[in-house]
Amino acid sequence: MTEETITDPANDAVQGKAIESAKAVFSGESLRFPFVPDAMIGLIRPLGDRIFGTRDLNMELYALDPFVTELEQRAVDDYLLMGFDGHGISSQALHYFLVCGPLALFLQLTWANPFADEATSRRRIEGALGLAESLFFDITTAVEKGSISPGQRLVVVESDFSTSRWGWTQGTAPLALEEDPSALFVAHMKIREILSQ
Amino acid sequence: MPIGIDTFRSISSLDLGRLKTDGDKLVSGKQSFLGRAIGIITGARQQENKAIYDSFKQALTDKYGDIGKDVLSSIKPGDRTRLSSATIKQVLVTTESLKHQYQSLGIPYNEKTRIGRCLDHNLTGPMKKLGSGAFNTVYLGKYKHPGGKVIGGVFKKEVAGGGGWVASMTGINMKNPQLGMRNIATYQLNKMLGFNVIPSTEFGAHGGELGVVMGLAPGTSPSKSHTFEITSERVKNTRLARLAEPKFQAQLMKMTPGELKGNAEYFGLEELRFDGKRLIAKGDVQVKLDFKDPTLRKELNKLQWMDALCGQGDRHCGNYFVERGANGHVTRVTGIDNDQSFGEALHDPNGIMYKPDFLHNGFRGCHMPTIIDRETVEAFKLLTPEKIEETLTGLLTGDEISACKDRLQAIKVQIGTLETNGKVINPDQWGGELATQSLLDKDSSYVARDNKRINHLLFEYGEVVK
Repeated sequence: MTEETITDPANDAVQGKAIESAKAVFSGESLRFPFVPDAMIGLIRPLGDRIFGTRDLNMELYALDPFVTELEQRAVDDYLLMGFDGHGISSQALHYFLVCGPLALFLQLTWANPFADEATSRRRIEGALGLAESLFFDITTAVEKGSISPGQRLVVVESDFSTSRWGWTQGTAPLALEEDPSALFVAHMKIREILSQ
Repeated sequence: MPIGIDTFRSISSLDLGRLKTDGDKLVSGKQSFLGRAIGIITGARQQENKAIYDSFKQALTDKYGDIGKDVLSSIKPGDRTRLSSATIKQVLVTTESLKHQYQSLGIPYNEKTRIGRCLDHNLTGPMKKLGSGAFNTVYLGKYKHPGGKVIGGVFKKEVAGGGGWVASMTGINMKNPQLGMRNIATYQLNKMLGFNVIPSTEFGAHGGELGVVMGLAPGTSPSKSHTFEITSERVKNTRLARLAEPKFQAQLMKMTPGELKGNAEYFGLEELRFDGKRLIAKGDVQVKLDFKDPTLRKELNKLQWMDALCGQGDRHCGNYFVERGANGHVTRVTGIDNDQSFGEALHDPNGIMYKPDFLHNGFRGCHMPTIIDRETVEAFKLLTPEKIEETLTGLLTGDEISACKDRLQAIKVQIGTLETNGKVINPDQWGGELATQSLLDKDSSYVARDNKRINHLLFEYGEVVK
């Protein structure tokens, strides 16, 4: 991280430098750059070593669940967090958390695990990021068509280290998510089903 | 002005004839460390005997303490009387660098933290870089220990910081979490218990950098790309199970080739396509784990008790290995990434259990098990607070050791309860009904928790599509 980004990360965000830095980090991993909603592009700033986002970061991405349960503790403004976090040798993952309007998506996918098959890990990440983007646009369309009630939010958690789950919530209501190891796939199919009705 | 290591670095690259000349001049003048070293090196080349090696060792010890002695001692005995200038340079540079790293990371140098067995001098060949990420660089090497035994080891550089959510909630010093020490402490307790569920762990160095070496020779899972039809029977209880459901297959059938490819990638597959109404997949397949395997149950249970004792709050299905023999049966379970442990604020072993509230939602552990075998009971009966003190002193703080003793006491109480309730089984009864029934709760059993998670990542294939 440069001295400038430490002292004035907001300035970097405004100048669009941060997103270029983020792209460079993903490029360094030979991974596709995750989808960033247009409204968030200028707000991206560096938040730590290989971590970027639009909100303050007061806990590690790797913990994951505190970000999910935060949704039922308070009204959370839209945000995006993405980057690489973990510890040890095998407990490392790509993280992509997007809370934006009707969607709250939390991806934690193993990466840089020296004992995992690299090609499979890369495929899974590429595929999940692709589904994430598709899900965002599909759910946005569903909202525009009035297929989803105002205030309703789809929550999807997919993790290689914790329980994957998905479900609907409203405001800060307690989360009642259904465990499913293919949570992102099932949620995406659900939105497609809603759109086709 | 004292002559420092930098001066020696430059001089040591010269030929030994020059070294001798320069050394003689220096030795005849000020008796500096450099002068002594050069004199000794020159003598070593001339005399090639152990006495000179010992002299050099003494000089190193005088300047660097035990680190210098240990680095030099790692040189193979047969090479000790043929110290080349390159070796001498490497020893000095490595020693100087390591001493600085121990100091800057706040790691004391003692019997439990010392290096000596896992240095570059001991490698039988070049290190192999594992993984592909630009971060998390890990190396695999084979070390020939002074006794002659060759051990496979995975090296990862020790860095400052790195404490996460678990560390912060369990009272680990976030400014100086000393994660390597926690890995080593876990191994030492495992050894004291005779459990064999943690790989040997010690400090070592590679390229002059201090790190932790896990005695591990991870085998690569035999995987081969196969083409097969997705049927409910074939992908039952796996992560691909949803692909067999007719409603999802109907939706997939409407997708463009690009969308289908994206969904295939999401499942880790190379390809998904329809052959008529049949959904065909192509990808790597592995035989799924059988959680009814008695050895898998027994070893996971031991690992769970081990984690309870260590206060290991981040055990998930991705940080332990399951080794299987040629017949497919489990032979060993090995827990790695043991650094989120031994927090001084964690006195209750059940404190590592995941709960959805904000005080526990970053933990990935379980409640203590509700079943145990007699071997494990005996191991814990023999483990006393005094032995914990002896094992962990020099690795952890007094408060961290005290918390570990409290967890041991709680474990003994739990074991007493299990004895009262008839939940202590013989080591050969892990395949029995009592074990099966006692391992169903995912909140108190890694077996129950990970049966669901792991087998969604692996799957068994049947007949492949021709």
